[in-house]
Amino acid sequence: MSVVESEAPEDRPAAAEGGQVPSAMQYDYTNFYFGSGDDAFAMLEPFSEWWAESHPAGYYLYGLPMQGAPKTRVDIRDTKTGQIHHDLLNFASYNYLGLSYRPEVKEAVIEATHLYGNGASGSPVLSGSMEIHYQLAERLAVFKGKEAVLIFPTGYSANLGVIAGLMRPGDLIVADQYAHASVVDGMILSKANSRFFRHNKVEDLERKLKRFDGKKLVIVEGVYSMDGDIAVLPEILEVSKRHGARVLIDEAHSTFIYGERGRGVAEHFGLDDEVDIHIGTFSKSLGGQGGFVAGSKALIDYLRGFSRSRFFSCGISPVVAAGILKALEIFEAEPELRQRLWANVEYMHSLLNQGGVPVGNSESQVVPILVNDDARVLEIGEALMRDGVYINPVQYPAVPKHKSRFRMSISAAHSREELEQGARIITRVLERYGICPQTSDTITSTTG
Amino acid sequence: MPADVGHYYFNNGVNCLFEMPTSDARRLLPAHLQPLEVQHERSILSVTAFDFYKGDGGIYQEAVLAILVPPRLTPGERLPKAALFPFLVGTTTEPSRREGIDRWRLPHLMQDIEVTFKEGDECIDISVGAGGDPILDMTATSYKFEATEMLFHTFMSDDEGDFVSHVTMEGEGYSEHEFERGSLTLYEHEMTKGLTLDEVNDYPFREQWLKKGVEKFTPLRSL
Repeated sequence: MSVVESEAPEDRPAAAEGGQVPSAMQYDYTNFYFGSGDDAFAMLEPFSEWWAESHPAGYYLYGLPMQGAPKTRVDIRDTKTGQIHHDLLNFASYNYLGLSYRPEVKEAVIEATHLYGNGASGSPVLSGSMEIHYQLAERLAVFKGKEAVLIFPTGYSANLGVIAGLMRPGDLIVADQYAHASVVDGMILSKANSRFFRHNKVEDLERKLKRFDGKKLVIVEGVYSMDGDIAVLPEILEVSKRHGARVLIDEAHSTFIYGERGRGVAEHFGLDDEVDIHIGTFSKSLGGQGGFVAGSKALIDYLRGFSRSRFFSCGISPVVAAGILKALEIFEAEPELRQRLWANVEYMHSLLNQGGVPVGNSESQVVPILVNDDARVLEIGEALMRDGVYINPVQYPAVPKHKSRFRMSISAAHSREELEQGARIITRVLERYGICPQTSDTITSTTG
Repeated sequence: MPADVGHYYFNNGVNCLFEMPTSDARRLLPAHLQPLEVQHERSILSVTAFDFYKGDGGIYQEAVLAILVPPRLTPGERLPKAALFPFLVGTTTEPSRREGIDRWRLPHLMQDIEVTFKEGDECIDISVGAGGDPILDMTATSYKFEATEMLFHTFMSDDEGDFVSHVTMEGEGYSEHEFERGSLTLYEHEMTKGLTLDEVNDYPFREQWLKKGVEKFTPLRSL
């Protein structure tokens, strides 16, 4: 949700316990979005003043420098104190299959560096396409079971380029209200008529579709990144097709995880061929960087010419491409990775459930730990880090008011002991803040 | 202005915010104001109902349709919670309508409306109509009630110019949430004719409910 209003400090509840909430923490980014005056820099000084106070008070928890690979235990530099927090349990990184630091991946990266050097040194439509890029695209197309794949520098640019590359002013795009910012920005850039339907509510989607004649595109995500729930794809496809709309699914958090072969939520529902456009990323399960679109050859040929976010960007680094290609090979050769991830997901959900930790409707490796206290989520984040857990807070306006949370990412690389330890720490800290009942002593392990 | 002038005391003040088309919002706003967007091409319709029991307008009920706009910030002044432009107000009595038009330059429906408040467990149903015709039905739900004092910028425009008043809302019990539990039904009516009814969301993204409160206007300031 974009920013809609400013809010005075008097309007926010004070902390009930745990000390006075600093005044700056009663403001948020929304206060600095609009401002009067004629100077484009008018908001800079008020923002700087606020940031100087709010950053050390809690916002410093974002973007803390990691001292090594995003493994299940990490060292993090505390930018407020300068000290290194050692051996924190990492539930913040996307590295769902633990592939980013696998020795084989690192070897492939080193080998590609010797062959290609660091960057692609050009747009992929000019000189920035190397043999490794073609190999990756072909391998991905086979994996996805599609005629062709187009690679983008980031997942963000994939959504941006595909949506704006395909849709035009006068067309209609209807997206789930929880769609990622890259979807929203793609819609804006396309200048098509844009609508949002209530999350996973097909009646609302139909309401939006049926009033419009012309080209229509419906956009959903496989796994929603703030809630961890999945799209009700069968119903969405039925309504969309009945109204002549094409369907795009962003499987950023579900590719390589859902479905028999790991193609995503569309495959999970047996609807892989019914979806017209499949978006994916390399930064989540494969631990690399970049995005892709998979579909018919005709679609990919068209987008190659009209996706400006790719056309006018440098191609992804061949070094990164080599790492992704190797990660894909490992993924296909080791189905037990995904089995381990799902076992971990099930186990962590059960541990959190034992502890009475509220996780909403999540059924995936993305688990929202619902704190629902906007004023204290950062304070609780500090407490979690002190107690040994690294996890990212998410607060208004990224999520609605009173729905602040931590977004937990579970990885196949987590051991059972790490999951148990993490669940105990999280439960214990949330108990202290009255967010879950006093049950942490009752969390039982199956690892003995 | 005497101390208590421009103060309006109410039992319930209920406000919900709904997404609406930005194209409609632009048509309803004067040229000097821009709508805030909650999403691309989706602006914010504010629907408010009051039941006043004391104040310069006497005893009456009121329904206000407004568009949310950016506040007008002045360095060193308190930041408002929000800013809005009421594009149509309906009241249940002639004196309150005259008060709203003459003192506050608010555009009014020039007939009496009927407003009913039906309070239930953690929700309140509001029905607005005029002469037997329905205008809107709205349900708002509650969260935690806490004492509050909030500042809003309210913009007005008429033939004589553009104005702003700083409006403070105080009350013993204020609830606000974004759980999307409320609802709205809009009917074809003179009061809703500026809205493409099918394009207004039938559920609020924010629900606000203030009990035992007072609305305090500062004198109008010309822009």
